[in-house]
Amino acid sequence: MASNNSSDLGDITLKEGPYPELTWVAVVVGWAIGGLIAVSIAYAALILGFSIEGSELAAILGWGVLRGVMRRTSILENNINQTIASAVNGASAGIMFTVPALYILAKTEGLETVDDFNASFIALLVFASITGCILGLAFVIPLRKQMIDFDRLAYPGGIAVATILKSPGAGTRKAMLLFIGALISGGIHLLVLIKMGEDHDWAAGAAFGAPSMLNIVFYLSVMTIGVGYLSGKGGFWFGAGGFLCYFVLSPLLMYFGGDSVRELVDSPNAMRGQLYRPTGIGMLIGAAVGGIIAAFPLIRSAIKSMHAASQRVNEDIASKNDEMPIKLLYLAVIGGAITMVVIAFVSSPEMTIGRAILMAVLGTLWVWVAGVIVAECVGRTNWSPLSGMTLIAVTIVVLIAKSGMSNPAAVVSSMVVGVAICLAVSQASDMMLDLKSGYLVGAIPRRQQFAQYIGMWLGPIIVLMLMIVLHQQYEIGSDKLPAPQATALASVVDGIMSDDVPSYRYTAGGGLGLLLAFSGLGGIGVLVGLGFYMPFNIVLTYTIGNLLRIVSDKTRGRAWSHDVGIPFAAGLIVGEALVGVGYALVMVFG
Amino acid sequence: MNGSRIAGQILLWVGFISAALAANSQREFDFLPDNEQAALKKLPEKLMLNKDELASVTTTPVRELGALSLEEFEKVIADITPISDENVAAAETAKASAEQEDAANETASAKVEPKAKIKKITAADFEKSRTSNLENKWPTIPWLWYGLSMAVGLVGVVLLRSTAKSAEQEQGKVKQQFEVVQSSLAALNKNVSILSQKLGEMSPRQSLDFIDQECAPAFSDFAESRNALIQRFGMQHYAEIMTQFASAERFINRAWSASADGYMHEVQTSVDRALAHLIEADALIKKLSVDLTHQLNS
Repeated sequence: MASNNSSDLGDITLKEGPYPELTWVAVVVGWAIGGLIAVSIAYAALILGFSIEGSELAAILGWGVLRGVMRRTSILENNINQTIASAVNGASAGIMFTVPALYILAKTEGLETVDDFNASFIALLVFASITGCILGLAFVIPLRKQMIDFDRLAYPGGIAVATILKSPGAGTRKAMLLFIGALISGGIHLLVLIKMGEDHDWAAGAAFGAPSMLNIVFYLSVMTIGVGYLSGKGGFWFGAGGFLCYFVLSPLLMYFGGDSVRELVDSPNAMRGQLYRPTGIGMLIGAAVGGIIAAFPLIRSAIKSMHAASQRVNEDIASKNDEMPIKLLYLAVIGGAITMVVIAFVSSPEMTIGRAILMAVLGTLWVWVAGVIVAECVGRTNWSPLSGMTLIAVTIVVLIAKSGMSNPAAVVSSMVVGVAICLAVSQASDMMLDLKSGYLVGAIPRRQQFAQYIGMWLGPIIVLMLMIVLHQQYEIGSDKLPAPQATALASVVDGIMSDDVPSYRYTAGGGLGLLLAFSGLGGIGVLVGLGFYMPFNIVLTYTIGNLLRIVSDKTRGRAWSHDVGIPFAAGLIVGEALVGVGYALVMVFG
Repeated sequence: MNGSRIAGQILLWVGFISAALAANSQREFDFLPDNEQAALKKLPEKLMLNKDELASVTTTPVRELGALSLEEFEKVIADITPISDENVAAAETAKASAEQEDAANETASAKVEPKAKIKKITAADFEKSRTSNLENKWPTIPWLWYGLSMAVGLVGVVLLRSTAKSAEQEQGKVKQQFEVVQSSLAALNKNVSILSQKLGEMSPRQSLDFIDQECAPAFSDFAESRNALIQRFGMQHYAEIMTQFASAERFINRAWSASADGYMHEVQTSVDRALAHLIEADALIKKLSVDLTHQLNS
């Protein structure tokens, strides 16, 4: 900041000149940090099967680079840096959970040709990924007002990022609480990883002789407690959904279930995999559709206000437009949908224009619905049902493609459209999380939205190249690169090709979700559905955080929760996330 | 009215739980012929096969086992069982020795972890190969039971929605919340106005402390009581008011960040914008309250 004059006034140095926000420095540092995180996390995801949200890490690294090395002093500039970096990293989950499935499917008889990654196919995948990102962002940006301004969803991850960003000015006490929380959480996570490896569960129910159907197993993660604390009472129904499955439905199914269900009740993991998870996916969709209908006045009002703002020129100060122009978003949606048609059409010589249009239109509609679902789930609980949404997306496009196309052509074209949808959903959830942190530090939404667009194109290029290089060196699907998530997706595609889709259970779940969505008890449909969908060990640990928040609000007051509880809980998230990344890197390179 | 609400809640949840039970009461396995079910039950629960091990007893890939006749399928299962039993024993021995290694050398055991994630062929894969052959899987859900339960739940929803507004109004909750909205907005208007006027004399730290102590609690109080705005003015007007309120809060947050970084010019600009949004929100609420009074009087 050579152009700024500075003078010391008390403990904060006074500065002149414009307040740095969307600067070239933030963009370049965001690209660099994002690229670094994307490579690390994508590599780890191929081996370990999980991905990590990059926002907290980007904020901390940005803090070190921008403030520590470059001596720049702007919370908002670092916020733009983390927005760009996490946009780049968004591709690591989106691509690594989908594209490697082609390598795995190529080992199946009759599908040997689906992994022909020639230059034009790679270019098509990059193009599809970027189109997906553009679409996902264009759909989710108008929801900012509804979810953040009107519904005031918690976005625990966004709170954690904002706490990191604000730590230089928040005073020593809050910074210390964040640091202590991170230290405790990081230390515990390291200990758990060393002692127990990745599958760190505590089977408390078995230890105390509780029936196995109750599934009392705790996920040993203080980060999850922190997330539950930050969600507060808003996340209560998420826990309730899980308890409903294993404490109410499972015992009742012992009496009312069919023979094979009664035999399965004592195997909670099988119950989840075969019954509760598909029902939960259906509930998420039903609740989201119901939620869109119920919240229609709010969505209409948000879009109307964006329209009105774009038409006002030089009026009063309160009417200035802080949002991305709505016409630009319309253009992105229409352009994105048309590009999806082109991508689907050129993905296979067997593709007809009619089928390409159908795939693109349904895919685009699904991006909107899934965008709403993940934005709401992340907003209320911090967990995104990305894999479930991708599964539905792939199911939709495979079902369209396989009628009238050969199996390899259907698989290839579906995966191309599928990766675009997966990236769209992944970007949508990241954007909303970043917009929440932006709200808390006072960022101008329009600048953050542009920053997300500036960052999103880079991730697909980096991650796709990384995947191809790794496959050539080690072979995806081998012991060295097992790609567990892509393997799971490949088996789903395989199942769809053999007409094995539990659409009846999705439909029944959809009805349950709609019922709750129309009950007038705001947002519970999505939350209860997510409780059905997620593993109960995570739900149980999350509930501890929820209860702690309810107790601390009641006994110590909300002010205490804000001043002490929240910075500490944010630290719990940060510490475990950092150790998680470190562990993944040690596992890969160590 | 309270009785109707309780009845609505009970009907909603009874209907929901009953419908959820129906949705999960049967599996596709129940619809396989009895002899096929019996064949599958012979497989060990913890079966884990490699592709090569399956290939040693059949040339048919696992996903195509459904195409085999029952006799052929039973033969595959009979051939596999002895191998799989050995496999289960070997897997358990390997696990035990890995756990011993864990204790001796934690790092080494961690390095073994990724290999365990390679997908094996399990009993569930065998079951899937046969159930995928079922012509119609929709009867897996007992739709009559499900439909009746949903109807009970819907009656609950109708009761809840028809009593929601009046019940809350009866309890005086809306009135109380609306008073909090008005008082917190008035406090915000006053304090942000003071901040705007006195910023020239304040240091960044003083401005930071002023926002934390004088503004943040009022923003929080308003947000906690905002439901009264929906009850009183409806969703559309709620959205209009919240657009102004949220913008004000965001600009105060921006003023906080700029104070922490020492950019006092930006603090002034942000506080002025926040004040403009607060005045707009206040004017909207006053106008809507007057309109509502007129409506009630006429």
